[in-house]
Amino acid sequence: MDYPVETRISSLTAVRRERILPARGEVLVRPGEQVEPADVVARCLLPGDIQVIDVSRALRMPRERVMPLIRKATGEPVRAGEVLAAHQGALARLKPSCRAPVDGQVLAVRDGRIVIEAAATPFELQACLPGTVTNVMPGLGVVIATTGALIQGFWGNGGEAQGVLRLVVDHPQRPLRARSIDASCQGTLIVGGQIVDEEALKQAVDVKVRGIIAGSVHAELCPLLRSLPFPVLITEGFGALPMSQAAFSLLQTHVGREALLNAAFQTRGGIRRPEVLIPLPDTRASAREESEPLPLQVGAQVRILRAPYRGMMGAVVNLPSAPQIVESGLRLPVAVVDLGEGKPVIVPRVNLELITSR
Amino acid sequence: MIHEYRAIESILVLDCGSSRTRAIWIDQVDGQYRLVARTEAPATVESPWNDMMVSVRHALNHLSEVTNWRFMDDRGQMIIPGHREGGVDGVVAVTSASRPLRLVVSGIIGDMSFASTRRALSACPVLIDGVISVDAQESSGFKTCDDMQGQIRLILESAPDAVILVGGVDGGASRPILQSAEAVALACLAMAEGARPLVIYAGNADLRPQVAERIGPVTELRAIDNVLPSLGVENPGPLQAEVDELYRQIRMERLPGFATLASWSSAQVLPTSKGWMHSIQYLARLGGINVLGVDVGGATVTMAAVVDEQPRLVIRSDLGMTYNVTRLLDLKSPESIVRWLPFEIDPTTLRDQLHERAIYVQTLPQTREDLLVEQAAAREMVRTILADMETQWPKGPSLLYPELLPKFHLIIGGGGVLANAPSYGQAALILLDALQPIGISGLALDHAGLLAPLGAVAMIHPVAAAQVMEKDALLSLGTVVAPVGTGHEGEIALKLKVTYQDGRSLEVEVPYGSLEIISLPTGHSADLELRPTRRFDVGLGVRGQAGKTRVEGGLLGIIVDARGRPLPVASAPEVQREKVQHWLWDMGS
Repeated sequence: MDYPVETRISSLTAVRRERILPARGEVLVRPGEQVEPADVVARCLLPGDIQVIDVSRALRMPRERVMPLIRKATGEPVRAGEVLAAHQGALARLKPSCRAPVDGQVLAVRDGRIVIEAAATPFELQACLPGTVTNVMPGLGVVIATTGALIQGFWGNGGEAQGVLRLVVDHPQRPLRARSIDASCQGTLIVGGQIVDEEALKQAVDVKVRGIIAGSVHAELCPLLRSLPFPVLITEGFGALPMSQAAFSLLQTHVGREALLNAAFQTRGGIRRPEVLIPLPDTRASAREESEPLPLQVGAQVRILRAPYRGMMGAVVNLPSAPQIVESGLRLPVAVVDLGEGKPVIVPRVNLELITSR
Repeated sequence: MIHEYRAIESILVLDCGSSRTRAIWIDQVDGQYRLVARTEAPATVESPWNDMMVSVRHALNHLSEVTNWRFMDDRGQMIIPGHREGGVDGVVAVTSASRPLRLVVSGIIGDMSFASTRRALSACPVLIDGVISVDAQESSGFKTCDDMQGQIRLILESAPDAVILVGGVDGGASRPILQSAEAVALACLAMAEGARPLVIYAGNADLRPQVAERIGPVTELRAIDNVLPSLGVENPGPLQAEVDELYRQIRMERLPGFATLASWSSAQVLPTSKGWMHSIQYLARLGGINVLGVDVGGATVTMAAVVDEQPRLVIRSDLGMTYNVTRLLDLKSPESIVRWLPFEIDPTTLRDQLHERAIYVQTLPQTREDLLVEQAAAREMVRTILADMETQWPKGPSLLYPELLPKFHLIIGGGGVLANAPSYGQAALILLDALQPIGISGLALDHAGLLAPLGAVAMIHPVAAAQVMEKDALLSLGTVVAPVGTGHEGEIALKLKVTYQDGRSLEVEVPYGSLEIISLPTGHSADLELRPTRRFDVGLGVRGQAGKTRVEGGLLGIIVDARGRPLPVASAPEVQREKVQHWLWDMGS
């Protein structure tokens, strides 16, 4: 039995999503509690920057003689500008002193150096989704259950954002162009068919969009995408592929609604797939999120991941039991896929991705 | 639990890679240990499965189907020892599914001890995330920092599994080492207690008390023998052993499902690269020969060699045909990959294809173009790891030309891209292009992926490992004859006479720039009389020197690679493309 990778494009589904603090802190909600996107569910303190102050250099004295002149001990708080060490004696005022560059706390006093950890920054973790808290992981975060439309992506640049969905193209094949991204896009999650140039990205930064959802991008733009101040989700692949009609239509249906764009992406050591979640009230009986892998079966909707049919979608019409030799010369288990364009095609099973709406 | 190996008749070998899991059944056939069957399944160490044993059970179920033999009981547990209705007497396992250890090295880049440390760590499954050094050099290829604040930040940002602190020979310099120790200690202080990295000290032994005084109170310190105790005397063993043990503890043992795998296994589960090294050493000892083996895996490339009885191992945990294929683009230009292709492809498309490969790790090429792109990438990966190895070749009689590969009697290729190449000619050409062997070498493929697992089998049953190695592990492609030298295209480089066992003979003139295949089937041998022209050496160390030798056949036969050493690349891309196409045709693919 083959279990291909699955991509979910669902108009309404139940999901459970972890909301995790970047550092250990405090959870502010309880299991069963209803939360709204803007609610703070947990908070923590993010450690400040480390500053190493070379007292010996500041006082222009040998390292072994400065220790008695240091006025602060490990664990003591300091204020920016506060004297940390100074010369003693009648002429001390005429000599340089050593002052704290930032507010913080003395982490260590060693070998003529003072190490200060700058004051920690408070961080508040928002729910980002409306839903019910189902689990609390003390000190770490929560799990929130909700319902909505879900589109799983192919690649993301990291980070997350909430915003109103806005289409800036009228067709999944159309690329994002700078001229389509105007001031009205500020604060929104913009949707385009492809990302083809840096101009559109610069314009998106200038008008302060909250995020971008696009079908494809050339891999050489990935370093630039990673440096953007907002999340970017790619649905199809690298190159010049249009967004799938299924994903585009779903996004089009929900233009004007609030959505959560999570562009977290990791392929190894805990897979993380980027996704767009559009919270929607569930008018049907609420179901648990399906997470069991699905086998490849006749009738399954699939997307083809490699040439010569890369990016095309279709339905599996046959799963021949004997492996076949494909054009590359490799002998592989294959599937027969109907692309809706005449004769069905033969594709190695490993090159198929299940497209599900569950 | 080590089994008494005389009692073991059947052995199950599990090879859990980053992309695929293989199950291999070894049993007695006519009094000899043989490979009975092997199956494989996609790896399941990642979500949605998060359990490496799911793919092990998939592979075992498939193995049961094809052999009609039960390996697991109704509860999905291994039947061991074997009995009339199923099971095996022993289980061994190798794995390369875990990510490498992430290290920060604290040393002095210009110091010899740093070079010794890099060499020592190159044989371990690690990634060096950064170097803190008083003489930080941009050109070192690492993220470096020379001021204490920057050094502390580098450690905090890298959040390594361990810091390797080295420097100086025993009784040598102390100040820079103690400064580095101070920076490491302060960085640890700035981290939460549970998140602090382990520190391994392998520097000037005289400084252990002072290093312990600084680091001991803030994090776990393991002080081991100096990696460079005196000038010119390297001691990599203790550092390698410590790092390997750490890898086992905090990477392998934390793989989801590893505890079950370990409980099934009759011996310690080995990292795949170590199993590969054991087998290469075994083959070298067995024949008293030089052996080179390169294994191009999904997330790791391993090169093991024995030259003039000296073993060498390099592991590149940042390179591989799936997860780490894009790292190649950080190290090599697209042009260096494209030069191995018989068709034009623009760098943007190449990047897109390789980046997608790193995400869709389970996919395989359906078109010939896709296949050749992956094979081109494999060549450059092998060339990258070879460049690391080149600094370590023993300066012995086999190193005839310092800028070329030493003489190897046997060269083995492994990993999916080689073992599953649709034609043997393609696999051979990848090895020839990437390694550019000189003189006369046997060429073989680890076609069933047995070599690394047999290194583990040898731990419980050396006889079984040896018998399977001899009969089933290697697929001989033939013998390569590669004269060293350069000339003009078409000029005769080598005349050779092949005398077959039945007395027939064949005389061939091989022009410079060509690849010739002379039939010599597997199991047959022939006498070769080699007469290189005055600008070429057939591995005897003297240009123009004639010689005679007996060679073994293989699936391809005798491959005469007279394309020159080093292999020239045409400056005009269209000429190079044409050459590559001819090479592929010459090799029958």
